[in-house]
Amino acid sequence: MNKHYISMLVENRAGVLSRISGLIARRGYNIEALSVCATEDENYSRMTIEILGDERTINQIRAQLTKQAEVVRLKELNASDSVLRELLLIKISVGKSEIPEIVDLTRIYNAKTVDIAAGAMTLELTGRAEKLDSFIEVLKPYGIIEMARSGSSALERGSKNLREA
Amino acid sequence: MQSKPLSGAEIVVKALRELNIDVVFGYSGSYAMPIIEAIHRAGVRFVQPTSEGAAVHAADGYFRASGRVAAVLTTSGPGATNLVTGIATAYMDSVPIMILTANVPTFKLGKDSFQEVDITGIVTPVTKYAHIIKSASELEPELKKAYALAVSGRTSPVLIDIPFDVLKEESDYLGTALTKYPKPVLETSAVEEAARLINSSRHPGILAGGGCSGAEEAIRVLSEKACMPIFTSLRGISSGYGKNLVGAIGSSAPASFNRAYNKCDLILALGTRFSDRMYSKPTNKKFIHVDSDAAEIDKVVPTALGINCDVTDAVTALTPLVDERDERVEIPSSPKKSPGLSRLAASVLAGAEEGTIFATDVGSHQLRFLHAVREIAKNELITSLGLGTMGFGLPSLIGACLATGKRGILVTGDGSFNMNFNELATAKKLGLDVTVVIGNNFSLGMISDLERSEGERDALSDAIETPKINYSALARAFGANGKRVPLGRLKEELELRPSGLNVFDVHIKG
Repeated sequence: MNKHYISMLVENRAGVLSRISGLIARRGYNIEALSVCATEDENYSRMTIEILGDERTINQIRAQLTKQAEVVRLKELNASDSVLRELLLIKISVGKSEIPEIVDLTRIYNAKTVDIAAGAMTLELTGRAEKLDSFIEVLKPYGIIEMARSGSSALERGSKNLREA
Repeated sequence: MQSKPLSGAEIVVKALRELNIDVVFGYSGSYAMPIIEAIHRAGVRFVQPTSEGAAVHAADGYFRASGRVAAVLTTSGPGATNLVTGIATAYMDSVPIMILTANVPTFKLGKDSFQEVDITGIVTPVTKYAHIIKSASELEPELKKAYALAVSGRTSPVLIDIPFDVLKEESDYLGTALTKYPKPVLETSAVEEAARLINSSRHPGILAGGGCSGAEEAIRVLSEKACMPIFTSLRGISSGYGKNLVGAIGSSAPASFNRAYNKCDLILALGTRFSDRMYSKPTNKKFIHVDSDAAEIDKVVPTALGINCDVTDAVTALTPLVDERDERVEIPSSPKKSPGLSRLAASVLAGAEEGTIFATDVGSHQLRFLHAVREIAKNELITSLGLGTMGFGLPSLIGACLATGKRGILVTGDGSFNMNFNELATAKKLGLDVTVVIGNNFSLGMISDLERSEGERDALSDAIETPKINYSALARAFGANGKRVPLGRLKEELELRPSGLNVFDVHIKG
């Protein structure tokens, strides 16, 4: 089973997210993440779905999604010809003496410190999923208080546009 | 010249007329009244059965018999939720229906107002399109979009929910054109590959499903050229398949048909979704699957080749490329089941004249009747298959008879008939020629068959037995001609049946 990324332009209106997420749930597809965002055109939203599955399952999901009236365009993206990014916010326990170590780590990962409080720091990191996974591993020994992680946002590389594809 | 703006309700009716929808099955309710008034002013036919549930089944039968789409109109809340079973029934059997529900005014939405319900949310999984309108200017384009989606590709019910204030709001009617949803394009390479697979197989066969409406002649020609036996799903039962028709396969079918199907090393599956009653475990057969709905291909059966296109287009392109064979196609005989419901089915078919529309309900009587029918014009058989909805028969037959003016016979069981017999009142009111034949064993036969021992059946008698209703007397209360008919006399009684509404209570053992 491989990870697949599906990028869709959907009509920007009430009920669309519910129809798409309901379809995925009802048919028992195993999705890792679903992100929805506005686009440059207010008529459309972009949905990015990360799914684990074999080729046949992915084709079935693509076919089911494509036939929804609200789905305007659908394209499967792969890691080599697309830019995929996730956002991580992570709050960890930090003693005063540990702050320099954390600052070093944020520098290595190109992360940002967005909040410091007594005994805690909140860090922000954007990147590919594997990079975020690795950052979380490194921070675990300090004690993760809580974290929030977005699903992938994805765009195809190059000058093309899904709307006009 | 600028035309006068219309109210939302008038826009709805004008759009229905433009879409050639000439009958609305509906039920009154306060928020729906502006549309009902506009329907009357416009002279569109409005048929009010005894419940909303019956209205949607009637619209379903109306389409199955005539190929014309009917509309359904109900009020908000329970009026809308009563439609759900009927919508799911139509969705599973790919029947288009234009459903309109009125809702509370927009300013009351989301506040749990009296008779408010999120009907578009409820029906999303069983419609191709469901949308709530927020302003009158949206009405015309949304109604047309919904209709265009309902009748294009794999047909389906659609629902438009309209808040009360939108029905009163005025807007211009623009007369915009219907969106065209193009048919998928058939690729030559796919047809060539299909021909190669068929030509290199030893015993190719055809499986025809519900998506073969109108393609029967093309399929017959292909089957005769390549000597392919034709099997159908229950939804695929039709006339016009010619001498190579074997019959319907599946868990309820004669074992000889299933054996003949299993002998094929390649199946050309046309317009079928491979119900779990037909395909339950992997086989060594190869499948070529042609379907107008791309999402059906590879959903259940792994295919050697999937072709997403119209069945007639694919078969017509394929026939010239397949090798002519000169073999005799063996048609296995079906065992003659004499007792009870099989005899009832045979008597009904023998006693009915050509051109009768048959409807069934759901249960043992349905399966015995469908296997007895074998061949029948698709628009003369009205039966709920995918969802298996008990109580579907009478209201759907009312819609079918209303659409065609033909005589109708409902083959039902006591269990199913009990669910909607109040629709006798609608059949009577409309003056339809409908005869109900109840295969009455005072029990839910199919459920009874599930329980192996007599002890188990006794313990579950409340779940299996049906009330001891005197159906002759019940029918007379509705103004119908009701009588007990012995099974041995059923054929004659049907031949002699007076026009109008008849109910024949046929007691069956077991």
